[in-house]
Amino acid sequence: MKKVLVLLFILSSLLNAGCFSQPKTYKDTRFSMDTTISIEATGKNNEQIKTAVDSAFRVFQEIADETDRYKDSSPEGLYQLNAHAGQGPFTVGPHLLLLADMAHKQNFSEFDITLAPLIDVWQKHSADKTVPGNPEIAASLALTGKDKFSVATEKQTITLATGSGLDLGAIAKGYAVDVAAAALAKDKNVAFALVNAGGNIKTVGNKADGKPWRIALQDPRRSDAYLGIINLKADEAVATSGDYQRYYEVNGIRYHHILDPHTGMPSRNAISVTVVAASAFMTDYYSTLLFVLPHEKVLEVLAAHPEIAAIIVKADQEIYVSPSLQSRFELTPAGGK
Amino acid sequence: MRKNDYLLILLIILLAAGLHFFLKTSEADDNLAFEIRHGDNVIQTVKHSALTTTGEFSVNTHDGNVLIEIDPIKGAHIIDSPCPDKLCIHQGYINKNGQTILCLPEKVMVTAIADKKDGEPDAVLR
Amino acid sequence: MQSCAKLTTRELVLLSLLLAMAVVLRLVENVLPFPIQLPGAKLGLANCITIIALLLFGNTKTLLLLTARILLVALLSTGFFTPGFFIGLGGAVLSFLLMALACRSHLFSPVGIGILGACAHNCGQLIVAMLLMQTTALISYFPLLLLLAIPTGLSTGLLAKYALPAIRQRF
Repeated sequence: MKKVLVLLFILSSLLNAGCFSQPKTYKDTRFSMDTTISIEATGKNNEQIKTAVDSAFRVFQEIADETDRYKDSSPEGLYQLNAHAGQGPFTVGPHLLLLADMAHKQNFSEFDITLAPLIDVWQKHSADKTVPGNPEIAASLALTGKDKFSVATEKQTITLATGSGLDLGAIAKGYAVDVAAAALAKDKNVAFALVNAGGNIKTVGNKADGKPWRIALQDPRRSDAYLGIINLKADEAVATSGDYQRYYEVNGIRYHHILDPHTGMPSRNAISVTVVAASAFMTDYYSTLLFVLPHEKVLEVLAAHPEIAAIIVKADQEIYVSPSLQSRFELTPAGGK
Repeated sequence: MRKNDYLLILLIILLAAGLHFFLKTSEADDNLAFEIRHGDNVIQTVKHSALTTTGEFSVNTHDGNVLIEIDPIKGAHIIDSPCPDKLCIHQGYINKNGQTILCLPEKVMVTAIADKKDGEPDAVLR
Repeated sequence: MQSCAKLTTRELVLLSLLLAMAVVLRLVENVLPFPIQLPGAKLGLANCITIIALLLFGNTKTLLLLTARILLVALLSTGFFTPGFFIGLGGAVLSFLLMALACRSHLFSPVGIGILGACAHNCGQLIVAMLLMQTTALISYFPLLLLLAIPTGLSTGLLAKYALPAIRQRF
């Protein structure tokens, strides 16, 4: 008799022990790489989730420091590398090495990480709200190009030509998002999570209800509206490059931050390019590349790379959606949110 | 412990289980929407709660129009179709998450889905 | 109905002891996790005191005990007329009603009374919460709370059952 009672008691208590462990969600937002990064993770234990998110931020910041062109945050970082341009091979950290190597190995001249001198010219003029003249642009372009740097992976060095400089703004964030997401994915205390680095998002795991992650894409011309909603799977990434993210206007013409390495001017082939892929680095890289490439070339690249898919708002405001995305992209009706 | 006590426990468990299932099936009704498809294309998604009177929706197919009627209380059903056996019309109403009516010859499908709440994305890509 | 004036000193002492224990139990419960985010929602372990009181003293004096307990707990912890106060109140009222009825009916042992009380306690808390937040969305928690009531009810009922003879003996 008593045994039955005890058993009942234990069984029902166990049941409730399970009930007591409601999933806990923790979200933190920090500023890094000149944008707001927010990481949200869900798991069983508050402490462990917080630890997981803190670790993810730590690794993100490590990469941010190593790839920061404007602050001397790391002895083997980008700031120091650029400062040593023309002085022979310079030992760099693992993240910087990897990124430079990947950029060097890819073959599109429309994607260029050596645009630092050009970007500096534009930044100076954006402060004055003026447009750089052709001679100035040509002069800075002369210092850019894949031939201006080389990577020696075994020696862990990068050699930069005099006057040149690397800028990793197009790929560092995506790469960091991948690494942070991987850290969260590996953590057994994390059931699912989302890394959102302003313009770069990656999902980790499946949500509790098993439904796809719903990510809203901002309307390129209205800051208070959505272009549409995309359903992401677990461990998938999406990134957007747009002419509305960083720009200034002179005489009604918009000068934005995605520059065409051939002309030195902001690319006019598109208004926004959103890429979906399994890796955040890839989405970052391709969203920049496909922004600069003319539309026909974009379609060729997409056809050649079935592992990525894109949503493109062209210069004429027409929207192109990759066939593989059509079933999971809901266009928001005009005027809606 | 008396016999009644055991009966009580049993009753509670049954009640809990019953309530659970009852609640599970009716919970979707608040956010129900009907997705009307023709082949691979979603023609329209109609929010159940947005209807104040019975609405009619038609899908243009090769052979004619498939007419779908959505009632604010009863749900969706097909009232007319150019297909030969008219099986779809006899499928009756659907009004719970996951239910579907299919008109195979015309490739028309009406599915009741749990519509997401407005403005509730998991994140915004800026 | 016996009026309070007829309380003997012995009864008064015993009731006060029970009151103290009930208050402590209530306060201690604050630390224990409750599966749902309801302010002031508690497991309801103090019910065991109510059961003992019901079986020893009957409805009126138990009601007196309950009122005193609610007031004291409000002073010490939940505060008056806060959401937590009302949720606790709802649980207390409903569980008292059901337990008093169960006692009267003589259908159940203290354990059964405990379980009924725990169910009513949880349901009372949930109902008040739904009224406060003006939503029926919480209704999906009923099954969980009902199941939760079984072990808590068992605990309170068993505690009361074993404590009762000991108290009767000494008092």
